[in-house]
Amino acid sequence: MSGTGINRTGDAAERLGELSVRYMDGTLDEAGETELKEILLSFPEGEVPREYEALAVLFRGFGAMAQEKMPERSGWRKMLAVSVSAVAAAAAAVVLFFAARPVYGYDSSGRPITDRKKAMAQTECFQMLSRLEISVKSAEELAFFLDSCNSGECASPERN
Amino acid sequence: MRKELYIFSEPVRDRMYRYARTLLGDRDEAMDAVQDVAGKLWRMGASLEKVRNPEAFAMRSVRNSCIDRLRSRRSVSREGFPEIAQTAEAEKWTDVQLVRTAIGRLPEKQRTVIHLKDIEGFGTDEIAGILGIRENQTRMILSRARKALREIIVKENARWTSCGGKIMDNGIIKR
Repeated sequence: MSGTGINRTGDAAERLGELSVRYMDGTLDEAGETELKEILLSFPEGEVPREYEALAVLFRGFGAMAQEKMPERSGWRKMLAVSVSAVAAAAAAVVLFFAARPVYGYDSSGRPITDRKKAMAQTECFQMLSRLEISVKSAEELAFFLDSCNSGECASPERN
Repeated sequence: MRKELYIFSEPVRDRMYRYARTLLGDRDEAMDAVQDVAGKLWRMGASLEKVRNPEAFAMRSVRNSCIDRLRSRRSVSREGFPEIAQTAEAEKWTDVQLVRTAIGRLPEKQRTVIHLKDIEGFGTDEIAGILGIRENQTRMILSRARKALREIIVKENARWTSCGGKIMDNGIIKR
């Protein structure tokens, strides 16, 4: 990044200056911020005017951070997570098996859900939570892992 | 599907995670925080229906959870963030790493405002609601945060240039 001045027209330079000052003051509206980002990110790499280099770095960094997704858990930390979803799913399965009338599950307050759409919505939520958490089966694996550690030979927590 | 249940969707979960990571500066702890918050929100059950802006409520919950975690650390300020150029990776730092670490040097409120505004795209009115402050205060914090970030990045760029882009472990510059 080696530019020493804005190598575009005077008007564009003036506009860039105005937008960046207002951005820094926190008074630029959404459209202005979009315009400022577009102008700065349109410069080829290494040609951003020196006075705006830091701003371009900021915008590139913000853009990349905004794309970040929550990673999946792995390893034995995964096993320590409490499984709300698996317990809830098991409870729902038991209810469905034994219920004489069509009760599809129970909500978080313990009320029966007889509406199929609501039950589906709840299932979706459980599935979502299950991505944050891990199955109860992990508890058995953890117990095995800890037992094996106690006996002096740590087994892999990932065994199946 | 009840409209407030969208806060359990993947995009919102990712958003909560990014926010927690910015506040805590640690990936695993951020995941733990999001998990805790998701569990608490789920246990709220029907009372979640009464919340006017569930997503803002979720983000406020993430913030509270992160603040609790930060308090439980020995040092409340500069938690978990390495000084710039103190790691071996400094040589190949990208814009995102530089920006993330620079944000980590800001006070918590500035971190929150810059993250919610410039990364998540919340309006200043919504951020004011999350922080429980007035909108003009939010703008003031935002302005300070942006100026501080710019200063940190200018300084780091100058440092980078002056040493020919070669920064060694522990921040020692190799000329």
